[in-house]
Amino acid sequence: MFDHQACPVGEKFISATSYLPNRLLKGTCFISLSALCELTGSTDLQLDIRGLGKRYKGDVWGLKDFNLSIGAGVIGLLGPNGAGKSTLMRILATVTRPTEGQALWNGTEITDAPNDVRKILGYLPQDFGIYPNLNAVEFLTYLAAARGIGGTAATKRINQLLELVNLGDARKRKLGSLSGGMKQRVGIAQALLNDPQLLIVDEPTAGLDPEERIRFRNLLTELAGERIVILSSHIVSDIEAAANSIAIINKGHLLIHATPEELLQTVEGKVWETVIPESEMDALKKTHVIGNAGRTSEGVRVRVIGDRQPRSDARSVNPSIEDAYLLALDTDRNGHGDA
Amino acid sequence: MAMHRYQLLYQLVLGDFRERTRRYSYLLTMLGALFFGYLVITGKYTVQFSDYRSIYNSEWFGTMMAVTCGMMFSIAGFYLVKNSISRDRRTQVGQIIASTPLSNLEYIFAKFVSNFLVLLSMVAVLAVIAFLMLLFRNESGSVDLWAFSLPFLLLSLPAMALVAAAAVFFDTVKWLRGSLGNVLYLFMAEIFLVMGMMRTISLDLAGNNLFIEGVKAGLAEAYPGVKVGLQMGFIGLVEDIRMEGTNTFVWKGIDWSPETVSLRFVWIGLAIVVLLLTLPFFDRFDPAGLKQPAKRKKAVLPKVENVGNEQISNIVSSYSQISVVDAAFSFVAMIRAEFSLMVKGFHWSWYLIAAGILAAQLVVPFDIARMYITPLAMVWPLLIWSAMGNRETRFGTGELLFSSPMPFKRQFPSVWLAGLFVALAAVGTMVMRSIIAGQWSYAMALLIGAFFVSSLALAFGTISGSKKLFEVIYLMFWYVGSVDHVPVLDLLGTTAEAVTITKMLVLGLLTVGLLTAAGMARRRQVYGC
Repeated sequence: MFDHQACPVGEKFISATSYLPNRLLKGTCFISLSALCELTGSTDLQLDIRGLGKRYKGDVWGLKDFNLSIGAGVIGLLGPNGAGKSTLMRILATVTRPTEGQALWNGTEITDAPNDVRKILGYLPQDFGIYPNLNAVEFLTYLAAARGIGGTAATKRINQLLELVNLGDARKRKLGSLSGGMKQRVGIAQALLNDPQLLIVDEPTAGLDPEERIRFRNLLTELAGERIVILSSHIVSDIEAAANSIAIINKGHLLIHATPEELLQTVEGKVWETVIPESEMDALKKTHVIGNAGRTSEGVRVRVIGDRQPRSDARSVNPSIEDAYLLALDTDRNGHGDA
Repeated sequence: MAMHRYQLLYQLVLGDFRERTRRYSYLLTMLGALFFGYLVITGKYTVQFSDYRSIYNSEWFGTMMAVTCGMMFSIAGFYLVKNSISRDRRTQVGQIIASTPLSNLEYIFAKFVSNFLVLLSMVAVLAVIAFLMLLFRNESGSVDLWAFSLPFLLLSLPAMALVAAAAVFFDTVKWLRGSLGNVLYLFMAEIFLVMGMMRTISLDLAGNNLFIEGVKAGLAEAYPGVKVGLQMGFIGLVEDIRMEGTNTFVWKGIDWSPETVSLRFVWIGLAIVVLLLTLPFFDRFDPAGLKQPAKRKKAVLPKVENVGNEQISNIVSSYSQISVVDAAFSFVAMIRAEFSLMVKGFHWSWYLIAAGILAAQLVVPFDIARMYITPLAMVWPLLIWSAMGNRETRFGTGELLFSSPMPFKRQFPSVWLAGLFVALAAVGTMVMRSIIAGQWSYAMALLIGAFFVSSLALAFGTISGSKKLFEVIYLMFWYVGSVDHVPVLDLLGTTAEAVTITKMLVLGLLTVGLLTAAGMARRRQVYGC
């Protein structure tokens, strides 16, 4: 079985589920380890964020002194509501001006030359609208015109993109009659209209059914090799599956930027599972970070994150990205892993 | 503890009132009301009966301001408050409310009350201004608070109740929610106000007739047999009002006989009837009540589609299979895209009538086409123009468009040019006919009118983020200027008197100003500065 650690340094693991269909289509029968790994950082794409800050009315900072360097690949942004993920994405998408700091696309300041970025940008905002009287092809043709893409070649690409997002059959239906998930897929298609080098997607899987979520995650993985993909999601499993680096954000600050492996190391040996009486839950919450919990006939089965073993009968379990995320947030709030 | 029904209603009304009074549009309307108050104080807006006037007393100030409140907020107030239910629908808060025990009647009533309160808050501001005027310019030697307040209670309140109820009705009935409702209401309100002035007591919503007839009766008492002309409006803007030397008399206010008072309560009764009529139209935010699922004309099967010279299979499983297109911006393509977006979504009969109007411009006698058909051609695309500049705000597509390359230099001018194209299409035939007939100045007036209207639409749409402002202002211009043929407001030169070099120059300058204002507003939206 292949896993992330099997890839050599500087190469990225491509999940078998996304990789196999392509290779099989092309007639490749023998899958080697190297075929499932792809060079990362092989292109010159670079996005540098230096001391970025955004102040809103009432002296509220949505983002403050934010620093991050991103190369080709998928970076996942994780953080609670109001952490500053969407603010960061809107600044990078040239929709919002930062109050301070810089964002450099291949050395060029985004604020000074927003159109340089817009030419290579694909952006899916968290909340976006559609024109209900247009169908998907008409809507994408309109947005393509705004991006300088037209003609029969554009029409062909639009149709192909709609097939890719599984909307081929619905391409002539008015957007006003589509479901939320279908509209979201139209949004994904519009973000790919200009074959972007920088793809920014804010909560792209919101409203998608499980099958479409997997399809989209695989698409992101496929896209990652030749471009920078910035993915924000509350769904940790989406980030875990698609991202080759993860940035955890809280209160407008970057807490940690690391590979999934490095993140897992931060909670190695700190995740426990135990069954406790319900009456002990409150006491445990005061001393440890609590992950998933569920009722059983013996009490509450609870996942606990902390340096210390919570109870003598607690057993150590394999950590997950979600555990690392919870620990990072707790450390930021309380200054230490245990509450 | 369970919340009482009335507490629930109270919270709903309060939340709605807070939401509305914290909106930018409320602030703007309030500023407009304050400016209007200033015009009244400085005598720019006044009521004058030839060389006679009442002394400035509690009855005069109270009644004059109450009547003007009724007139002004019957129109501006309606458009301010007619969006509350639509907002609940758009934000889907309505679906949350629909899942609560709140009954339809309670919801509709709560919306009516909050509409009413918003309108009253504006009346209250003007009442305070009127009271300050009374304190500073009182000529009677005493202040009668009751006489001052009564007109607000009996004239403004019933009028605002009906406006609040009408706003709920127009906001609920599906086909009245949009532009059609805006246009229809404007005509209805105009009819009510004009008929009210024309001694039609039964249609006297604002209390105009009561006021005028009351003052005339007071005048006749003081100066028996005198005949006077009436002037009401922004008289002071165009001529000096003689404050000294006019013949004064003491007006004791409207005679509030039981019959007069009961007639005012009829408006409140009518408001209740309108609210009750609203109920059957309220769909409780059920999306199924708004639209039927699109009917499939035929089964959709996997197919091969012709695109250009190539055939593409509809089986695309990987991004790498998709062809890449090089970007090369084309203004023509962008204008075409904006134009097709503008003209989409109308019923087929709309296009048919548009074609009929254009054909009529070609065949009917020149003067008839000039006076009647061209104004029709320039109002038929109203809904196209009113959507200019605000579509991104209304549909939430701003972030998608503003993250495209050079949105300010590319997409924005394309919107204007597409709107201008529509205007030129509306007047094109008449421009050609007037050139052939040697009427160059009329041809020029039409062209300037086309430029002005498309610029006005873009500016109002971009600045307000809504269709309403353009629809109301342009319709008023259109009706008074081009239908009633008042030369100074006639943008289309329907009569020879309406075509002057000065007016063309003014409209030309205004066009430049409007485009500049529109550009500044859009620049702010795109760049945040």
